[in-house]
Amino acid sequence: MSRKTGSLELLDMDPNHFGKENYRSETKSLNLGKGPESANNWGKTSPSKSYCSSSSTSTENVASTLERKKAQAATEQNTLNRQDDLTLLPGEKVTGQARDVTYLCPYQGPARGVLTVTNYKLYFRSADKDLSNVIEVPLGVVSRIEKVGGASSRGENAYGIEIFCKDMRNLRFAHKQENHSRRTVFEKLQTYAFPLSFKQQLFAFEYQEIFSENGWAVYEPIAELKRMGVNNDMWKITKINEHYTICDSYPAVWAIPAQATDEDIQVVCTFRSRGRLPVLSWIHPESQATITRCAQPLVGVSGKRCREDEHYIQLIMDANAQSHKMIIMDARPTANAIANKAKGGGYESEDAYQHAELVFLDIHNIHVMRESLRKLKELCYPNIDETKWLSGVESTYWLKHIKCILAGAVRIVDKVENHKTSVLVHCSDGWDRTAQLTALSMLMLDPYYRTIKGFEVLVEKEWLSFGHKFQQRVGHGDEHHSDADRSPVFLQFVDCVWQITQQFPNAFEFNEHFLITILDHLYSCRFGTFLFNSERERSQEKIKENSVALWSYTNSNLDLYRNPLYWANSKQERVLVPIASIRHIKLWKAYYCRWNPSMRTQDPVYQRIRELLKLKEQLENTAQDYKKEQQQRMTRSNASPT
Amino acid sequence: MNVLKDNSRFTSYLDEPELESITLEDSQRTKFLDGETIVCEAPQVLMYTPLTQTNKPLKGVLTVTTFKLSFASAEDYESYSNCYQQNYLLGVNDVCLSLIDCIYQLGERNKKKLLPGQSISGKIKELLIVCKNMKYFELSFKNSDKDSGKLIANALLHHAYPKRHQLLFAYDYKEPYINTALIKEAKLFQFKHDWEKELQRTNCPGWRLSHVNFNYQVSPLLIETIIVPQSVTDSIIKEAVEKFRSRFCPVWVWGTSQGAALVRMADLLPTITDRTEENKLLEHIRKSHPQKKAPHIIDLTSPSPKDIYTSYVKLRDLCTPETPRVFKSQDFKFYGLLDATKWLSHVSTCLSKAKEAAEKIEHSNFTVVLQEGNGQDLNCLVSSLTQIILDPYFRTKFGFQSLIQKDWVVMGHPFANRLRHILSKDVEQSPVFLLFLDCVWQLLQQYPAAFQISETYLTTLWDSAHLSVFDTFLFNCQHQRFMASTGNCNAHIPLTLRSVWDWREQFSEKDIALFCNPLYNDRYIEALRPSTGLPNLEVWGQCYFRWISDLEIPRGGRPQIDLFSRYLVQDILQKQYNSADVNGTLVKINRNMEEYVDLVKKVNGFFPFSHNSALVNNPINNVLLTGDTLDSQSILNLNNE
Repeated sequence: MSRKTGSLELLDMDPNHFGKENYRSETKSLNLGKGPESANNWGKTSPSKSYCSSSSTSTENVASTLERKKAQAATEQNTLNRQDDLTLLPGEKVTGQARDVTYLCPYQGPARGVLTVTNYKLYFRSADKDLSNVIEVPLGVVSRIEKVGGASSRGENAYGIEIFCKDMRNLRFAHKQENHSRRTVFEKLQTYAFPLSFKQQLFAFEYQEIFSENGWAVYEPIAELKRMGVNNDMWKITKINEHYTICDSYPAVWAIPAQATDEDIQVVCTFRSRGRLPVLSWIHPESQATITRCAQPLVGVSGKRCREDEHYIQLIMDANAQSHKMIIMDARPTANAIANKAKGGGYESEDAYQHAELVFLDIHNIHVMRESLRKLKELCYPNIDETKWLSGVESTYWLKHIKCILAGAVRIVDKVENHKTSVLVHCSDGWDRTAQLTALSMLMLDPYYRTIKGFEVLVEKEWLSFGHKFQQRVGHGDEHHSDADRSPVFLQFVDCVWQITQQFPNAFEFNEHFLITILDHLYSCRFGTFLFNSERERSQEKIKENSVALWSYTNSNLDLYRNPLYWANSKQERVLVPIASIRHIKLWKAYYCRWNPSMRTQDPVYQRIRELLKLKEQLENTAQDYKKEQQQRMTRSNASPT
Repeated sequence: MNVLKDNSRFTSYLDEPELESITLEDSQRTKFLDGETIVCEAPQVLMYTPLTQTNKPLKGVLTVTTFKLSFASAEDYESYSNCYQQNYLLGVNDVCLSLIDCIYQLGERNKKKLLPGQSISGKIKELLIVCKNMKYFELSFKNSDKDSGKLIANALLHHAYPKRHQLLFAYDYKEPYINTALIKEAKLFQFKHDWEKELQRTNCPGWRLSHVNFNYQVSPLLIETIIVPQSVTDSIIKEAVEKFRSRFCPVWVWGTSQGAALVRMADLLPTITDRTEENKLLEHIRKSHPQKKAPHIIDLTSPSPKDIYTSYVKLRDLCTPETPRVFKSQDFKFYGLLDATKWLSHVSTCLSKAKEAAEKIEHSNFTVVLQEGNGQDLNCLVSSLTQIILDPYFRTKFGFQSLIQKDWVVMGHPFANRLRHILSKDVEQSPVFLLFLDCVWQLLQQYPAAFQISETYLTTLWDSAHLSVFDTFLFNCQHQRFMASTGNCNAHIPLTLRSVWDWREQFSEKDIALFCNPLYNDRYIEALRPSTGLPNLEVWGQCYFRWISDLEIPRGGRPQIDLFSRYLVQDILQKQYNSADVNGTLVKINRNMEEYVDLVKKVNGFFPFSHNSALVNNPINNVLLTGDTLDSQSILNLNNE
């Protein structure tokens, strides 16, 4: 069957794209010869719905995964023929269907077919056998749904629905007025794309798939602090926030200077915006220089001071014997920091914090970033005006923002690594730009975070546990598409990570597909990982018990996400210092332009290297077989003397 | 930010180098080639790499010879020598005079371009040298002898811009040369034999060899043996050449066994308004096609050599920022500035013309005729690109070098003018060849397994085009080369022809090994389907940015991929060898794998073109990090926090 048009083609062009992967994992259950319901049953045959760490269970799960993989491999061939089938995830159900709908593909033109809405996705399949066209979009990705045309609309395809997505694309469907199908589809889409606005629950709480790995176990705050050698003489673990009473957007467990008392904490948190006082992010294994994070001090127009806060900062500085100085990196542009004084915030005055040096990093706020991404989407989707490409990229400022964030992180790395000086990072509330900066500088400083699991820990720690407001920034299940709290802050971070992987192609265990998968599920609402705004909310909602972690999904199929170039054994650079010049910063086309079939989004170098690695493996296997054969011959000849 | 400090060229932030005189050991002194003579010398000169704060200036002796500008310093490069390309003809800090493009006198606040032929009488403290391959560096004479700066400047202004071809160093170079290995490197296409073989290899019917231009009697710009439609008689050609610019009538360069040929020709002379002559020849071309298909004509008037040069100059500005301030202001609107150079749109145009030609030939079996004013610039470029797209042979190293011989060197691309080996009124400088190499580089990015040659090879080729030792890129046409080699012009002694393809004249095996692309798959024989639009093109960082040492990624960048691939391929070869041992087939093992592992830990982003040994120790660069007023006062709106 030829599939010349549409999104599956897009997905097919890159076997790494999540849609396809999705598709495969869904087919798995079908290929076991059971429908979606029985897939559920199959899931329930394992000992418990949630994840046990007991060894017997995990082996069983591993075994079943292997089985599944086999089944998958065996039916890979069939997959191509079975693509017409709508495949459902465990827990997914069809909620509505409309025939005679036309998908208006901006690249290949209109295609007529069947549109299905489930509680997880929108699924369109072209009816034309020769021109099969499949679109599959998780509804979490949808930001806005609009009706196009009214009763008076004439013209072909003038009446229908337009869907605006968070992942850099829009979709348009045309309905026949006489079918009255638009209304149902629109309603279903609304309900399941914005369940929170319609008093429904997010799909993550209905999704039932079982994975061999338990992603919720990836991050264990105390284990991570122990990895960095805390407790030690200078830093201690505290559970003062166990019930989220000191700071409701901070995690239950943090590390603070060993000398700081609970009383200090009680006071210092009142002088920092939202109670977000300075706590440990990372500690240098040799010099003991640290990266700490917090929110802005509540200085206000009057220039208020807080002795306890000043003392506390001094403690952080003293915890590093190598330096008699401390750097405070304020992520904001100077003007913004000053403007914040009017609202009770502000920045540390050098009078009050005598040994501290204050640096502004000029990173703009969430509103500027949102606008920049909007322009970028305009540039990349649906069609690219080639003649205006470069100046268009320039005018979005997107790369400039990326550069600025990277440059800020490099400055932190420079201070910590080369000057052995501790750095305190904050912005206004310390959950957007601060998270970008601490996470990026930690990624540059510590090779652990460049492994797949280490990166998951980094995201869990610096982003999720420290209260980056994913719910607000992404708007999961919420219909208010123009909400001013939405902003692509986490996307920017992942873009920066991608930029670093481009500059250091063999320093990361994971590949680009891993990053794109994370971004896809940032929106999809299939996994519980990115839901809600803080650890407190997630624990209230019992997210670990009631949903599946994204890391369960990724860690059960690690081979998909491995970077073939990763040279873990070659004793590589501990510290990476990317060049934060725009001359090295590129537009991430494999993400931003992936829906456009005219864009090359695959990396042919990686493909070729994968081929070579396969060849190598074959040779190794041949050599082993040969050895075995030889040994067998040897034993045989020894056993039977002539 | 301190604007003043940022503006000053070298260096309030650098330690003042001590004044004590340096003594060079014999091994550190400038080495001379046989036939090379010293023009002038200056002691105690400082050499600066622009921008960087991590590199201290080098102290050394500066020498201008008839071949090069040489800087000998006491710097210890030994420990670093594996990380850069070593050239037998030049020292680490030497540049061939032919490479020098512009010379500027630097003042406190401004720079002044020194004009060739000018004679400087005042004192010169500092010079900025900008080369044709975008290398740039600064020389300070403040510690040198009183007149040093002036003498060096005058020597350069005279010797780097020769007015006559015979003044080029190739004529003085006395080193004996026997080109025994050359036959393995390329077909030169200088004689009938190679053309005959090419016609046979492509198996293209309907065309024949003509000796009408024997002894260059019909056209000095054409080769002696040309391939023309079978139905065209020599007398028709004799008549026809009179009507074409450069006397460049339609000639065959390549074809397929189905009969689609690739043909090049110039425009008719501007004085001729009647296109009958041209049509007659096109009719012969049609008849030579087995299906008598009318040829598809592609007009290549744009970009003109002038457009390309203008674009190149703007691109060069982006690649040679002299001060941190310039660097930052360029960085601030880099993509806009890049757009304004139009360089990538020229690349895009050339690639899409070649793609058009290739598609016509491959899918529709059309003969394609490329037509351009003089027939010697864009014709060379698009013709050779088309062949690379269609014919896997030209993607091997041997094939690629043969292709450049065939479509550029002997087909009369005026290299002497375009590379500005000599300076005279009617010389129009234009890096058409660089534009070609850039196009090839783009193809290499899109099809890394299709090419036997590497990015490093392409960059080295551009560098080598400016070495006045090799004849390959020294002449405007084959006739000129022939005259020089026989000593027929101006009764000069015959020139020894040394081909640039004899890479062993310049490099060690170790460096030559890097010319091979480890990702090459010799079974990749399909035609390429390049994406030619701007969004799918990239800036050739290795070639253009390598002299901005601040941009060098410490222990990162593409070399990491490259070296890993080499390691992997060696490993595979080794394993094949081991298993072949069993089966009795022999695969030759090349080199030591461990060497690559070792290099990965040492090399930086511009390997093997990094001369920035300082990076090994201090990877953090402040020029790019210090707060920038441009950034904070940006055009961005300050929304409410």
